Amino acid sequence: MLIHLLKKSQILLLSLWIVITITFFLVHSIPGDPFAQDLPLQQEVFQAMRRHYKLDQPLHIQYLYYLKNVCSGNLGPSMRYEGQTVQKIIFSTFPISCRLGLQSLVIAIYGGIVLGTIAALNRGKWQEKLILFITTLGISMPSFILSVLLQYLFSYKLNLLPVGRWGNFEQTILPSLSLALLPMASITRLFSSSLRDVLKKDYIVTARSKGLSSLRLCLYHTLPNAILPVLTYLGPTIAHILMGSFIIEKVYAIPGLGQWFVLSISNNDYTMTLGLTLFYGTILSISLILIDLLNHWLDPRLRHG
Amino acid sequence: MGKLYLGASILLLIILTALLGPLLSSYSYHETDLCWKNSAPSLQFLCGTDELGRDLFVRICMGARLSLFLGTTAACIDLVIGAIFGSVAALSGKKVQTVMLRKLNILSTIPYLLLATFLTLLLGPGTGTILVALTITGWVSMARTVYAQITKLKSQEFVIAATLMGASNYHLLRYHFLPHMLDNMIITTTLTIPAAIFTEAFLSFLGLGVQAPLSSLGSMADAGILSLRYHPWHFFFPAGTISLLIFSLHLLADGLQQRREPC
Repeated sequence: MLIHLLKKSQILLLSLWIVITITFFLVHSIPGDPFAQDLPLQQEVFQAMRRHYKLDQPLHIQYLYYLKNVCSGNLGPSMRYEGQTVQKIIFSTFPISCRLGLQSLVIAIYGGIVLGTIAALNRGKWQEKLILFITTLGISMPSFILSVLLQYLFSYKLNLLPVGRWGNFEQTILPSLSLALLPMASITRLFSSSLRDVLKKDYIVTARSKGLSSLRLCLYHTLPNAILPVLTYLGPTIAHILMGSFIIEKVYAIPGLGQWFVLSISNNDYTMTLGLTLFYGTILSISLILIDLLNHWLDPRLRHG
Repeated sequence: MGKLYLGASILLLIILTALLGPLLSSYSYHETDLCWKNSAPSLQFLCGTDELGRDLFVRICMGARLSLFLGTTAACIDLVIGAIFGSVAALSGKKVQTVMLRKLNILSTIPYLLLATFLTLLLGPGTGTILVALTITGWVSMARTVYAQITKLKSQEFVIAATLMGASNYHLLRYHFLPHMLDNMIITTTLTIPAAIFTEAFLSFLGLGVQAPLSSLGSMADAGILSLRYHPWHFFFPAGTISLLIFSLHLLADGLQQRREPC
């Protein structure tokens, strides 16, 4: 088990390094300069700024310097926002996106499993048709349309919930819902189809004829087997949702992490872009490893196969 | 079965309207008429007009044309690249296979928004850039499908028999793998088109898409948000069209899948 884990994290570290290398040379190939955007600076100041951030050095020296910094856990200063380090920006905005993401994940997983179960148990009846119709609608509606629609309905028309901004719990309801609907629809579809397959299996019939209670049957035989495809889907989705959605943060005016992905590149803020890529990659790797562990715990075939 | 026909007929309706609408209408997508700005939907202007007095119906039709064009083109490119990559990965030796599969994983580690913004800055906003942004990671799912299918088929007896009789890789692909994979590939393609339309709308919504006076559904929805309170049709017509378009394609894919597994 430990060896498997080590192997897995080794591969992930390697791919993180490759991603950072690619991104490093990509961002430096964008035309423009972090300091050449606003009012033209005095030549001496401009040169001094470039020297300060080591931008006057050859590219490979900069690359090695950056790698050395990253290895010692320092993502560097933001090149655009004076006095801010990349870590500071990430750690002040990530908790917001993370809380929003966690709320949406709870809604998506809970809702998806409940709806999926209802659909699988009522095969061919109107409940299944209704749920399938709603989920197809759910995966067809881009998040920016859904979030504006919810905002229009609940804030403008019904005046039930605040339009946007971030602070109290009421303000998190609409954004969490907008973020949750798409993964909820996907989880519902995945779970209902896998549950349908599992319920047809021989071991379920055996367990039932042994006289197991339906709670036990569900907890020990059905759920662990039916949840496997959902877990595979959740791996990348968790990272994606936790990192915050640019769209939803824009629509609801939430000061989260999502906007920085676009801002940092259009600002030529090299260190910020690289820091974000690294952070995203790390979160993605962690969630993939966690899901992998969960898979191993639930599926003995993986452990001994 | 109903799903397949429902999806196909909605899609056909949208395609026909998008193609014929601008021809039958007396307005053009770029002509402004400030006397009629912000008119509500009426018989004269089916979907109303925008803040410059342009007919929204014609603009939506042009946007739908663009979405359909980008969606199908991107899906075709994805199909070709993905099928070649997937089959080469599945048929080559262990080492090449590992490298190629790892490449797929690395590609999905780069945040997509970062990549798309980067491309727009490098190539300048426009239709070509969107096409590149759509296909740069879009082919991965097709590659995975083809790879998984071939790996599954490779251990089947008829393939082993064919290999023993000296069939070349080309022969295997053409006469043994392709007929078995075709269903799956078609379904993946029908799912790629809505994904591409979705992404195009998303990029245009961020302002990374096509530029005025060309219209795209995403950029129209983006502009519509500003006047949502007073002229909600600016947002709802383009947004509804995107959703309906993607919905019909999903229904189509669902219907195809059900037809393959009728159980």
